[in-house]
Amino acid sequence: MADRDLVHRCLRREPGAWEEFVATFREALAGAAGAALKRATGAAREEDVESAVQSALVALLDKDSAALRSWQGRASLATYLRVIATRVTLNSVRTELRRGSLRFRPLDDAGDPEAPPVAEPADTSGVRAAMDQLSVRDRLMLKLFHLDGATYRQIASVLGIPLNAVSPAISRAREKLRVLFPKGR
Amino acid sequence: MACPDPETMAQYVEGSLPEFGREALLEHLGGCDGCREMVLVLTVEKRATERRIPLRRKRFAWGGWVAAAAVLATAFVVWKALPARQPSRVPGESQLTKAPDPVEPSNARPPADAGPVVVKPPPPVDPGPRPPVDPAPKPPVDPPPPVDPGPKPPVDPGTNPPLPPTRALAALRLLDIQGRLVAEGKPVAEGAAVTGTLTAPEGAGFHVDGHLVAMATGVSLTLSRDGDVLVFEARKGEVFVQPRGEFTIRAAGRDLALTGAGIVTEKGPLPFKDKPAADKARAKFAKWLPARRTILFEDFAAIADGFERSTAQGGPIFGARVMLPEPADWSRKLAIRIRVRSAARTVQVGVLFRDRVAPWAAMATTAGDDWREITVRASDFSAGPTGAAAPAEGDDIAGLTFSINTQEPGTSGASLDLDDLAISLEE
Repeated sequence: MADRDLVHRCLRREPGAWEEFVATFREALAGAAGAALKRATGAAREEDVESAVQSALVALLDKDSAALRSWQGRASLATYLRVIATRVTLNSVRTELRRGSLRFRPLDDAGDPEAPPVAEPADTSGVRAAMDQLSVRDRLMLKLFHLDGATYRQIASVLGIPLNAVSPAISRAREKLRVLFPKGR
Repeated sequence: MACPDPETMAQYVEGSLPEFGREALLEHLGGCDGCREMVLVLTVEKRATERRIPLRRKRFAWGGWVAAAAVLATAFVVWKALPARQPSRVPGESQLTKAPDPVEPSNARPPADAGPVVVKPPPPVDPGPRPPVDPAPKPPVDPPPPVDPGPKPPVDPGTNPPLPPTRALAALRLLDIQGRLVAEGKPVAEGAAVTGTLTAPEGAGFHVDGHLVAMATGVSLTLSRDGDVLVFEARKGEVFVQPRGEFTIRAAGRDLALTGAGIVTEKGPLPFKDKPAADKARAKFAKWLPARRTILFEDFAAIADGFERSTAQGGPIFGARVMLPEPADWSRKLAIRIRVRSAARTVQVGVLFRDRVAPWAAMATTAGDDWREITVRASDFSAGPTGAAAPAEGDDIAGLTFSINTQEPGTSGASLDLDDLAISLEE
């Protein structure tokens, strides 16, 4: 109730409401922004986190506070805001990457310029076609593990399965993929 | 499916997304790199952890509560879908409280008899280091005085009596004691607050504030707290300290920020010069280092989604849902400890699983207007949704619920105060 009241007061632009909102949820926003930065860039410097928090707050107020108005209370406001902050931060990093000027990336993490380029697989269409034939969960699991580098614990969390069920499930999904794509490695 | 809206994603993260929506979202995640990355970030974001509570090892009488628990568990299905949540944020106050709704009908406690009912604390005034108080982007237009503020939301009356101090947390409590500790001639029990000088007749180790401390035989040590600084007064011998994160200790009047293990003597704190030295000391104290580690919540308010209310078959349900800051697995060794104060005679403790709609529940008795520490173990969870299989080892716990039925016989109101939540695995 208090969250809903606070949001309504912000939307009505009552004096002090926005300041209270920021003070209450800054920590949640910063936590999400920091985690997103760390995953996307490998580092979460304080000033970058703060910048991401500001961007998230701006996003909430953009277009007549559309994002703030959209919260219906189906999820907690704190989690909702963490999602917003994560999305804004990841989008921001992707934009920076597209521009080729990733200011978040630490200088000492620029990679080895002498390293040989990673070879592109000759043809991935067969793999993609085989993947498309897998079940939703099998496909998601393989992508999380092989493309995203997710840990077993993360996969268990995303899929809502016990931790000790992840490894066998990945093995089974791989086996299904192997059957669907016999020429694959 | 297009990318889910943020609230659907938030429901998914909280584990409250209905099954059909969850499957659709999983299908979307399989094809959307961006959303998958977002989910990975949101599932690893960590907050939390360390606090202390006194431990008690008594069992609860169950009697007919299994049936009641089943009813309440059913009520949660409805309850979970309701939106209202209220974070309680008092910096430094690890307590979660809620007043009965002022418009709640007859079973709400009258103000004069409000007992533990408390007013929602004011917005946090964080004395700690906070980013410059530019509270970030202002609303687009400088807010003019609202022309029509509309109906005022219900405001908790300011007449409720303040809570009695619950700052037992401020005391230094020792957890996971390995060996035998004595203070002022009396054995120190697990979870007890420290007073006086500690001695370890045969050597001992323990956790305090999440930091690991080990004392060799014959060492005497006095612990105290000065703000965030843990003060060691080693009277004699060496005390091994393994900090959790960066940790400032004070010994012999000198402050030292420890990032790794160190030794405290009567002359002051001494960090190790290198890792081999630390490893050697650790090996020396190994037999006293506690094997078990109780995970507790540093800032209960920060992880609590607040209080909710619903009406269901078993009557009006009122309670709090706490989402865990990081995944935890169901285990037969699981023990949930929390301090509770409520106008209701019993409180239901529920475990929410990521892949289940309704929680698995256990009941515990309260002490009415007095705080009581309750412990609920895995074996106590006997009530779940009809037809549902019992939790299995390793099932992923998403959160906990604590609730009361305000129409339960003997209940004098709708108050529920919670404090000092801890989850641990017991041998």
